[in-house]
Amino acid sequence: MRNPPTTMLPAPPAVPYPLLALRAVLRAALPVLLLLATAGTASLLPAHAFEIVVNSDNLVPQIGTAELKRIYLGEQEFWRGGPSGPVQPVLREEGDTDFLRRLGVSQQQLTNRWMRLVFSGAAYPPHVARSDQEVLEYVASHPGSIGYVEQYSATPGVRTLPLTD
Amino acid sequence: MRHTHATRPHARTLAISLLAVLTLWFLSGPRPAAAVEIVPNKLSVNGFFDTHIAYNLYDSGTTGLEVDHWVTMVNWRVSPRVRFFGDITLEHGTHYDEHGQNGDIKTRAFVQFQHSDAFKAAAGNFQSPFGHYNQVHDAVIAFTTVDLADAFYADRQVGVDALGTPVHSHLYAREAAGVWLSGHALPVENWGLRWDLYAINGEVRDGRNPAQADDNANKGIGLRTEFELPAGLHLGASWYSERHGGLGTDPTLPAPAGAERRALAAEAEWQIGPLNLQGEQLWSRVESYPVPLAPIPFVQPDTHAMGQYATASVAFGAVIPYIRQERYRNRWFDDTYEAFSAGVAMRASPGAVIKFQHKAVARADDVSEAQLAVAF
Repeated sequence: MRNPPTTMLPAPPAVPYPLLALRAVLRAALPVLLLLATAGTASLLPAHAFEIVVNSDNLVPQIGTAELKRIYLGEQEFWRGGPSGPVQPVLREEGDTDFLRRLGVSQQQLTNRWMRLVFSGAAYPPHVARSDQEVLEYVASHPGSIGYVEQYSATPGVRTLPLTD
Repeated sequence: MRHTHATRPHARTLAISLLAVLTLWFLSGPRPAAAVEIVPNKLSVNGFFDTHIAYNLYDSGTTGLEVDHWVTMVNWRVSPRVRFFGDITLEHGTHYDEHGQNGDIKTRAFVQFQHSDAFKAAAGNFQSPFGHYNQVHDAVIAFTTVDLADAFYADRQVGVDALGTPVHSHLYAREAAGVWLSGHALPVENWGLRWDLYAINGEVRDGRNPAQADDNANKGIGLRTEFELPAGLHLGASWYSERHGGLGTDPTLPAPAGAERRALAAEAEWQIGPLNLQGEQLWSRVESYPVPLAPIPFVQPDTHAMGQYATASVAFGAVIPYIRQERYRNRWFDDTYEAFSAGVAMRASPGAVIKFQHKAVARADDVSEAQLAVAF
């Protein structure tokens, strides 16, 4: 039996080396690209990357963005359907971008607003926290307070407050 | 016209300035309007300090270092619904010292009962809610420009005394003792209404003017409303009226019984992203004011006065350039004041701001100023 002559087999297509290199890079990068795409989508899934926290004695079921904005701009000083005392907003040294974007204000506007209120004697100065942990500790010990944290960890005397539109 | 006073930067003033700046710079920190909390949510202390160096501020060709304010404020929550507020202000080179003195000490204190957002009642000594900025106590860190608009907030000539000497005053009671009711309501979602109503003893200080003297016979009443509309637009109006009582019968005093002052103001502010537009307009008049030594004795002069300003600023992060145009006119004296200011405010931290401003004044010296304000 004669073997067919090798010259009868189709020759493999000649692939230029640059194309081969690009194909190799794409194959290697595909899992990374998929991972990044998934991660990007995942980061967009939650409505916000922060949690609103209040004292566990506060029975307010939820809070809207408009009311939250009024509280953080010092326009609303008392709870509606919550503790009988005044609202005590906890500000952050470095305002969280996502939180401020949700309120529709800049850090500059927030600072100017409180400057005007405090120096006109119109409002009690807000507490300013340096970390999530400090926010949680303050909220746990002050029934009328409200704050926001980037990463919530279960703390006695504190609960999260659902944020609605 | 401002009063001339010494502007020499003597060593004591300089030392106090530097010490205070350094102290407060450390205290201020990167925080928004933070106060020193003596007892959390119960007792806090905050305040501000500002100083500036100016060329031509009061006299031609002079350069002066001014320590304008050193203010310490106390907030005390007596109970969940009762709050005490008090402050002590040390002023140097005050704009409204009638006696040419260089320094001044002011106090403010009131107790406020807070029933709800819709209703609050206060009694004591407070800065009257007239116009947009009258309540912020000259805290330069709370507004963009170096100074408040002279055409609206500074003292102007409002009359003459029995000897014909010019008398200066604000066009309303800038601060006073009395009762102050206020509230904030939300009649419609995203719409707000703020209101203030106050009855006072007239102006506490600077009594030598036709209608303002703290002799307990000079009663004033005022009202202010502010509408908060969607899209960051605020519109407001203020009204003030006072009547001098029967104690000003001394012919050497410029406070005839029955003199009445009425002032009306309109204000608007619009925040469009980083752009801020603001303006105020004021009309004022003194009525029933006979002038014994006028060319025609006991004639009623035309005491209409009008002040206005408009400001535009844009925030590029912590750097805020701004311009302001202002104008004042008093018909009686044909006193017209017009100035254009341009400057930049830079927030070094939320608690510290540095400003540079050049003010071109019509028919007077231009004024150049650099200012530093620190709050804690």
